[in-house]
Amino acid sequence: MAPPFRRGDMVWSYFPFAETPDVPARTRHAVIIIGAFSATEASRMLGLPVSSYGAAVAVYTSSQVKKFGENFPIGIIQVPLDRARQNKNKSAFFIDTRVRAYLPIHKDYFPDLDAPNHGLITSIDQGLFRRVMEEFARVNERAREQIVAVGPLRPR
Amino acid sequence: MADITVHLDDELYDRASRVAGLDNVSVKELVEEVMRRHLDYVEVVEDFSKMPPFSLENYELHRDPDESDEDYAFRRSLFQ
Repeated sequence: MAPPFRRGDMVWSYFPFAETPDVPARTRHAVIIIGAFSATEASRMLGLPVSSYGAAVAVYTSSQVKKFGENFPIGIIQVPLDRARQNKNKSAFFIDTRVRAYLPIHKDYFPDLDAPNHGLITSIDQGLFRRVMEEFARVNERAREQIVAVGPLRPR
Repeated sequence: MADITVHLDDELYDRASRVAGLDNVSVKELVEEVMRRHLDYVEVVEDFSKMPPFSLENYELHRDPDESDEDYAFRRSLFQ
C-alpha cells in the first residue's frame, strides 16, 4: 500500500514526548513529513512486521516562536507570519529539525489517517522544504548530540 | 460495569487526593484514568515493539513522482 504522505506534508500527529518516546501524545500536534517509507524486500523476507502504510519520519513544529529569542540554535527554522500564511497557517511558527519522530503510519500516531485527506494541513512550499532538508543535514553533520529521536521506530 | 474495591495506603491516598484535586476529579476517576492510560501504553508498546527500528536496511524511502534524482538522493542521504 502506498504511503499516504509526501515529503513536505504538514499533518496532524500524536507526536510523542521525549520523556515517553514510544507513547503517542494525548493531544494532536502539527508535524512536517521528511519521508514516508515502506518495508524493504529484505525485511519482508525476514517476516518482520511493518504497518500496512509503512513508516514516516517527521520533524517537530511549534507556534511558540519566542522560545529561542533572537539567537536560533542550529536546526531551527523560523517561519514568519507572511510565509506561514502562504503555507495556510494562521500564525508564525518554527520548525525544529533536531526533534524527529520515527513513527508507524498508523492511527495511533496519525489520528486522521482514515479521513479523506489523512490529516493533511498543508504541503509546505518547495523552498521551505528545501531549507528543512538542508537544516536537517546540517544537524546531522554538526550537532548530532542535539538530536532528539522519539517514536517506537527510532534508531537504536 | 464491574465494581472493584482497591485498598490504598494512607500516603498513596493523600498523594492521589492532591493530584485529583488539581484536576477537579475524584480519586476514583483518577484511578480509572491512570489505569486506562497504562493499558493504552501497554497495547501500543506491544503492537509496535515488534516492528524493526528505523534504518535504510529495513525501510525504503518512498519517492514522490515529481522528485528529481538529485533531490531524492539528497533526501535519502539524510537517513544514512
